[in-house]
Amino acid sequence: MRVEVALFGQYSRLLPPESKNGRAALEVDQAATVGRVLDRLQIPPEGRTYVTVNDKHVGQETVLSEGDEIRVIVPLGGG
Amino acid sequence: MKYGGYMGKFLTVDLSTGATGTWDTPDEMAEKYLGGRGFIAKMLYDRLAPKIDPLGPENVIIFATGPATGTLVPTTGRIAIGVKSPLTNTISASYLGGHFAGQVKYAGYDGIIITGVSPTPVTLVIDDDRVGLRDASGIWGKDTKESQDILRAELGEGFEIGAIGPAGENLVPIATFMHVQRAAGRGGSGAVFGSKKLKAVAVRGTGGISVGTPAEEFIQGCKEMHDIIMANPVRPAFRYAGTTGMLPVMNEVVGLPYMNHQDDKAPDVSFIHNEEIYKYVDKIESCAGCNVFCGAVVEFERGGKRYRTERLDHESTWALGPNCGIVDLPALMEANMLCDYLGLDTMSAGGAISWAMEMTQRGLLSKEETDGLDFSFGNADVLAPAIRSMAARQGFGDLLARGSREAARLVGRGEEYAMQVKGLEMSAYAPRGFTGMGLSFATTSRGADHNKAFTVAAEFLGVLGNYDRYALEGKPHLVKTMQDSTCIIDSLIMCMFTVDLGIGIDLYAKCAALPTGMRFTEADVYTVGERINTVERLFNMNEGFTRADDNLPPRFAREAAPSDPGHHTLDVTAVMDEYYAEREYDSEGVPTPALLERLGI
Repeated sequence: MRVEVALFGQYSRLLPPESKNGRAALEVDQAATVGRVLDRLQIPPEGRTYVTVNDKHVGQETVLSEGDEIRVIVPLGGG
Repeated sequence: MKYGGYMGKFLTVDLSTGATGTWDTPDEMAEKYLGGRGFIAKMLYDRLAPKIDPLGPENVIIFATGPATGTLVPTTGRIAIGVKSPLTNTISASYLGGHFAGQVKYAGYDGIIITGVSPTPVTLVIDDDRVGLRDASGIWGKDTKESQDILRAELGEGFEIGAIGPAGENLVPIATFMHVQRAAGRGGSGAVFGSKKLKAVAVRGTGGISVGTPAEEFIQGCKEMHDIIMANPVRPAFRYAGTTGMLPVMNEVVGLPYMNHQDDKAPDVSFIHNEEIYKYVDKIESCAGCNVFCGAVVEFERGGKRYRTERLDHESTWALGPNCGIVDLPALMEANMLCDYLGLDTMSAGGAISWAMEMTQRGLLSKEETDGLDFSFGNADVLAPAIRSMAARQGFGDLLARGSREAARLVGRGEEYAMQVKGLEMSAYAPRGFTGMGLSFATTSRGADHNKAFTVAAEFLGVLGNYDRYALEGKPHLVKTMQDSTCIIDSLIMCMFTVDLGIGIDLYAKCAALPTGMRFTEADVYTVGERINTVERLFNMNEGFTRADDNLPPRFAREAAPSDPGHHTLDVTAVMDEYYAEREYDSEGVPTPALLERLGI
């Protein structure tokens, strides 16, 4: 099934080369978890503190559905 | 001075007579106010009579360091500059980094107190204990870059320099004082320098700082902070994305004001995505004593010319970009560079321009009134001429130079479209999207200052508990807590970004205890914060501010952001009683006698 992933900060470089502005659509297995997707993208453990699915903060064991939007946030508050 | 970290004295300079001297830093002031912002609050409250003209001879400029400044405590390369603001008439402290702050302490001073007015333009030169005023007529009229370059060549090795540009010289109420391209900042401190004919300050210090903790314990404590920052995953994000990392995220969650706050989401922010800005970066930089490196030098081309300048920061990018509906990154970089060289606050400049744009959009300003400049939203080509005319106070630029509120008052309409609080233009965080930010903007002493309580950390990132970002429930307590805890960062002085890098209140307390040798606990962090916020409020009360000034522009209570599916509006007055109760102010927002007694004010 398809999910959307948006990565920010330095992690945006971990997306496939054809992605633009830190966003990509990924094909994942049915019942894939957030953690599995982040493993596949090679997001290190320390980068997984602020992950949302459809705007809700979630844990890595959360099971994904078709069309879910995963966002990995790097929490730097600008000035 | 019985505590470590301090130099024990301020340098005093009377520009009217040229006399210089020193003033001993009181032990009690160090205990109660710590330094930086705290010193500025206490000293300006004590020294300024109510209702003086901020651009008149009675205003005082205070440079203030903190006990940690210039030591091995990480991120302590910043200095605070305090004045009564010509923009807001409130007390106002601005901060700049780079390499200036440490030199003031190494020269032997906790800060500088500047009074009076010089008859002719001068540069204040501080070379350890050799202090003098140098004729600045040769650089008066020159921009901040050229002025600093000339002084650097004339004075020689080791001086760190700051200067105002033409905007400050022309008394523009949104003018800055610049050290390289670091800006202090909001509230028009640059105009106060201009009113005193103080063009520049150059400082070189060769001394050291005695700390109040045994050497090994001190170094170990500093190393602990350093290691925490180095290990934090946000640090590489600063190196890669600079300070703009969260702009795209804020936009996605309908929290990024667009077109003068008419909406809270821009249709396209791809042009300011981390990856896009990174293409222009040539090298990264940091302030003195900082291991984060959020700064960078960029190269870009516009109008057939190549430029090399500092990378845009978050707020500047927003204020000149999405706030104005502009999507042209080189145009933003050019505008930012011009603001830095002319000595103008990018945020207030952007806010004044976006006001003019909304007025144009609504047919409330004609092209005749704007000297033929096209203030349509999205017109990138208006930024440079608008900024130049503001710094020079020419034509319509003279109105914009006063800030959006005063510009509206001068044309006699459109004040409801001036997105400001107490005269200070708002910032890149949408109040309707983060109600805590809205409440903070309404109640912070110098107006809509986004750096006095960054509630987004709680409302969006889940730090400090679970908050509904749209609801006002719990926000008075959250805002008070964060307004208080932010004071320690502004007083030590450390960089605000340490909040994102794993330094919590317990560690800030340690950053106070280590250099001073004071016993300083988490509870002390909050008490000192309460005291500083309360003194700032007393200053403003003396200036005639009332409960009516603790509010946002009417738009937020009246309209939801069109892009917000939840159609949220925000009326901060609904919780103002609760906020005042949290603060121990009375129903008019005046600090109670019991509070003043508890805080020893």
